[in-house]
Amino acid sequence: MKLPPFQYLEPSTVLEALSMLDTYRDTVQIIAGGTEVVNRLKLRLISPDYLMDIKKLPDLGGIAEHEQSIVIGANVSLNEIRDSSLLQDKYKAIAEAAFQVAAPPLANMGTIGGNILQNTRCLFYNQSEIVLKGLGVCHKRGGASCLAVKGGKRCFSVYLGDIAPALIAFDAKCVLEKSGSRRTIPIIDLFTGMGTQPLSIENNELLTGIIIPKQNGAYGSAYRKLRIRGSIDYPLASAAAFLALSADGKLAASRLVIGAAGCAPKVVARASAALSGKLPEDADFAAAADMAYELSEGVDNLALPGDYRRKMVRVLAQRALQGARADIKRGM
Amino acid sequence: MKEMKRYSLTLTVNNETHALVTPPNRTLLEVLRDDLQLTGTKEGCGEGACGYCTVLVDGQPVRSCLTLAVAMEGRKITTIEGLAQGGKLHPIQAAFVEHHAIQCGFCSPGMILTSYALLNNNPTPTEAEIRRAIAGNVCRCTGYAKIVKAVQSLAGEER
Amino acid sequence: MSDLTTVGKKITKRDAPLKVTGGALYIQDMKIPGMLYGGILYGQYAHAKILKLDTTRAERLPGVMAVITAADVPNDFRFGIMKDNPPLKGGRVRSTRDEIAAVAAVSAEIAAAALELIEVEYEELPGIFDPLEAMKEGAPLVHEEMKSNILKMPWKLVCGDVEAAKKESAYVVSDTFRTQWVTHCCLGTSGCIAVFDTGNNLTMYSNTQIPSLAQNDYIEALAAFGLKGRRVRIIQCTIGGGFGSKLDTYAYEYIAILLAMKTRKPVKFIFSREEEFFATSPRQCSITKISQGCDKDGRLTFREVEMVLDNGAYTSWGATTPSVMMMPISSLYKVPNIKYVAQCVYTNNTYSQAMRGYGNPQATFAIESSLDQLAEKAGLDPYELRFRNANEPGELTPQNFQITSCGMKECMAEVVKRLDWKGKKGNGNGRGVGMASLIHVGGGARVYKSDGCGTIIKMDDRGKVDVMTGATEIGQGSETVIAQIVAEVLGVNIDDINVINNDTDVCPWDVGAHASRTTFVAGNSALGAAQKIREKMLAVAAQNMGEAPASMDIKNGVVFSMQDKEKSMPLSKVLRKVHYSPGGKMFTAEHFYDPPNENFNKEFKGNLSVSYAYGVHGVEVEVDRETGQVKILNYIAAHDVGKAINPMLLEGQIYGGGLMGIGYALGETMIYEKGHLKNGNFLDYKMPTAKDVPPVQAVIVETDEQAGPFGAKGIGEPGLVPTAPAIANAIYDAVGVRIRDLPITPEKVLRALQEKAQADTGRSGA
Repeated sequence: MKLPPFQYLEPSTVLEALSMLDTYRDTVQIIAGGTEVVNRLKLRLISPDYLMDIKKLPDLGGIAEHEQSIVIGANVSLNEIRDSSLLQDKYKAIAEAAFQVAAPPLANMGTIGGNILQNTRCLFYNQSEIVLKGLGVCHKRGGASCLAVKGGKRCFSVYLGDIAPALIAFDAKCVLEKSGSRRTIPIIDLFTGMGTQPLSIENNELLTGIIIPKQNGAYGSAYRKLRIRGSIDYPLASAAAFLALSADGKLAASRLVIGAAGCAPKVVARASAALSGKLPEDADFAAAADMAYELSEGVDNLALPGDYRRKMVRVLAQRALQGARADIKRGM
Repeated sequence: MKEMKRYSLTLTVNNETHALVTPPNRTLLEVLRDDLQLTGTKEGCGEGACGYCTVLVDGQPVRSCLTLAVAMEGRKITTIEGLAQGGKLHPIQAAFVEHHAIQCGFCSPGMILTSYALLNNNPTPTEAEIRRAIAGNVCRCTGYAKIVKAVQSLAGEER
Repeated sequence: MSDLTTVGKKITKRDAPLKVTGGALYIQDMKIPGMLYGGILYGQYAHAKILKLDTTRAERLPGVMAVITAADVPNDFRFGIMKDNPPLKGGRVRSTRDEIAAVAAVSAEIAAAALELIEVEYEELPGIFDPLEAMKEGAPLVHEEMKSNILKMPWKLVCGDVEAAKKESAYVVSDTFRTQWVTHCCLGTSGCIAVFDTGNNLTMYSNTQIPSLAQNDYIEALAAFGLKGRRVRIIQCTIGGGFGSKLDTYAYEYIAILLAMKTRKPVKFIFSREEEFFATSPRQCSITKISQGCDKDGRLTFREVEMVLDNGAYTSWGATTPSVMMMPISSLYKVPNIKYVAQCVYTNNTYSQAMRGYGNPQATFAIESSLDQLAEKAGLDPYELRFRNANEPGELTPQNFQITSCGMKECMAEVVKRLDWKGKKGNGNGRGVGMASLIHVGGGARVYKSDGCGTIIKMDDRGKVDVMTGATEIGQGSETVIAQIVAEVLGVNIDDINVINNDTDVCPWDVGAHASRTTFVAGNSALGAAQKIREKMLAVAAQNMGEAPASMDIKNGVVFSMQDKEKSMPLSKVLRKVHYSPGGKMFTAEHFYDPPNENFNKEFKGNLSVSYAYGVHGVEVEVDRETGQVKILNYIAAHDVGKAINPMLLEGQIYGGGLMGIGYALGETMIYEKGHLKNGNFLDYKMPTAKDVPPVQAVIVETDEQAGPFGAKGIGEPGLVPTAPAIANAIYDAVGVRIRDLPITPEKVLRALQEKAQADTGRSGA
């Protein structure tokens, strides 16, 4: 598979990168690790005029511990996340998620920024045109039909990132910079929930860093992922959980996030409310997992059927909550 | 086709420097195979899922099919052709021969370089660590048993 | 046999040093000066009329040297066993892989761009994708000139009286099992380079695993293309895996020939991974209805099997897999009464081909799953039922297979011991054990009129040996096994043997790398040639040293007298002496070995193979009741191999076959939507990774097959034959659900568990 033609931009500073983005806007595609973008280029899912390489930009690396937060540069590789003792120790769900992304050589190339900003996927979409032509043009390719759901009025492609659900479980934020300004938004707000345009980042913005609020006291987290093979595969269902206890051993805060369950990672808000003030017990976790199931969406567009994947969201939600609870005990 | 600027590029591959001119839309794999005639690096899928195109960039295993050649200026690239020295197999290559970790051989260059990088980073990997390290390099012939054994045979040895 | 020096030893693979250094040249790596790059345009629909096909714009693109369509294929040439497959399809497409146009250009990029400039208009027609639907009267016809979608194929085997046996059986079970399409996933994709010389003789650089048969196919094609009587030479590059995928010729090869004829330049084709998935032919999928019975003592009374095979739109070897399925159906365990009928049905799906095991895994899945059901019904331990009916040496099976060596019971004993069968069976705690056996051809397979292989051996006067064999090397290690056999017979060092196995101008005939026949047939051929040359050398050595040839031997390259060890001479010295004397001589020998096996008669009976390979697999699994995921805790693969000529390479076949079988059982499947493949890539097609490998023990049982080279039988395919039913049986033992269709995905296991839970509640409520 050959790459389509493009002009190559290699800014040497963030400032220069922002200026290039401002100039080229919709005609530029950012590339960092390349593990997703190069594939999309080869399959002709995108054909930008400009490819802007940010891998060598200074100031986008490093995992730094501040008083109130942990700051991770957008170009930090997934292997660095996996190997960070700070994250393994105190933000376990994030390290666990990184541990399960693709395979080590790919996680060595792939960056946290790129992983978060990955596009949605579907068996009817991530193919070259020769295979699918005769079936019609789907919403995500600019057509008006859904090949996965007959008569589907919208796109049902699935967000399959592993890292975002784990970060969202910690209520993490990201820094988006553009020429002359920057904004910090919760990572969950990066997602539009639309399969055709799953990300809300603007065409002149650059994601430069991730901010994880520091946690204190008794808390724990976990990430669980279902896949057919022990390596390489994207999730078929996933769940990240964060639990914090008050002094009396009851749940002071809990966040359950599900992945591979729709066009965006989803916070199971009802679960947070339902668990609040309860002891972290299996029965309540099961009820929370049911809420995750209710919130999940699954159609037949990945390796296993949508019905099954939804059921697995429930199982993994329960297991993530249990894993988070075990992580608390370990920490105490 | 859009008119593309061509780039003058100096690539350091197996300790030799090569000057070449290329448009930006070429992968490191294409340049290695087509321009430098280093055909030991294989293309299996073109999307990073098989690992046959693995080369080392500054000692780390990288998918050359997902890597732009223009981004490789100043990096140190090692391909399978760069392991044997003076006509003598590198110990990792010798171990693959000795333990029958080779059948059709198509995955072997990538598998060997991935194992080489693992042993450099972690000279005494456990079986689980070996399996994890090579789990992105797919083999259809061997069932991996003898590949794991070959890498294990070097664990802890001086190399 | 105890003093063997090379055979039976762990000799390293001869071509491994080249492969570990990146020096091995695959078809991907080959370039010929002036070479053009080919590309194929495929139809967009599973079934459609081509209303318009305009190649004008493609032809005008600078760098394009030729564009061809069906109109450029002379004499309505068609290939394949039923001659129903034109290399370029005109008028109509019948599957999404139908080739409708092809280009040759100065670069791959230009070829790809040219394909995009070809204008095609279609009228979509209703397609048929379910073979059972396609069999019905009034179903849309895949080939409109035919009366029915059911192929005229003769697959029917009857032995004894099944109806009478049914009535007399104490226990009878019936069920239906299904298997899916899976594909070989050869790491090196398909490709070729077609080159014509000025005399219109063709050289094909290829990765075929059937050089002699492909040569015949091309010669036939050249005749149809107006080049009757021209020579064809096939040069095989290093082959990046075969597994049966290269057992037939494909459209792209004929297209390459046509384009090379038209442009008078070498034309190369290399498939992308995507093309490799959808445009090569997968394992035949199957629907199998099976009934088996036994008497009150658990002796099998009959086996009745009906099968429907989805043939796809064209016909290749997939349609002939029933000829091999008959083998386990008639002869796996002692079953006196057999009935088997198979029908192949045209659909608008992809068409199937040979794949490692050639139908045997599909049939064995049904037989061995059903056998566990029968054991349960008869109240017997599944092992006990199998042991009572196990095959034995000296048996003549209902299909007239003469069983010579047979280690089935020994293999079973290994499995029972190593798995702790009695301790683990029936505990019902989410963990369980299962087993399944196999029979496969182990001494060639006479499916063509010839099952032969030739060898030519040439000695130089320094004691180095060139062995030209017909045997094809696809990674399995045939070149090493052949070198070992020759080295053993000649008494020379293995490093003095050079095996040449990739050029039909030099290498003798061979039917191909299929049917697990290479060690047995090519091995016997090499053995025969080596013995001939050894005799010649001993004769002259004896003359020179004043001894009788019978008292001479050669070891480590030295000829010596067995009576008087002082009398010895380096072989090289003997050879030079004979060469440089008046009337000088150098030594060559040839041997053609065609095994004494039989073609089937019209009733499909006959001794297909000179010997049969046996094996038993046992597996312990753990099932996650919440997700349906199956984890293999222990896997025993015990194989009767006759004699291990190279235990290390042999284990490689068992480990590799076993994991391919595990992929078949648990994860791999080609997902089609109306004939369009949805997961034709390495992300979405689940070929197992190093993390998906359970602990496997490969157990070698040696039974010393008298007809085999040094006692050996074939082992190329058996490793994956019983894997799926062994796993399915273990799942049943663990959680009480029977999965009848492959692959056993977690979704199916979970669904079965939920259905069982509902049924159990219903029963207890009643």
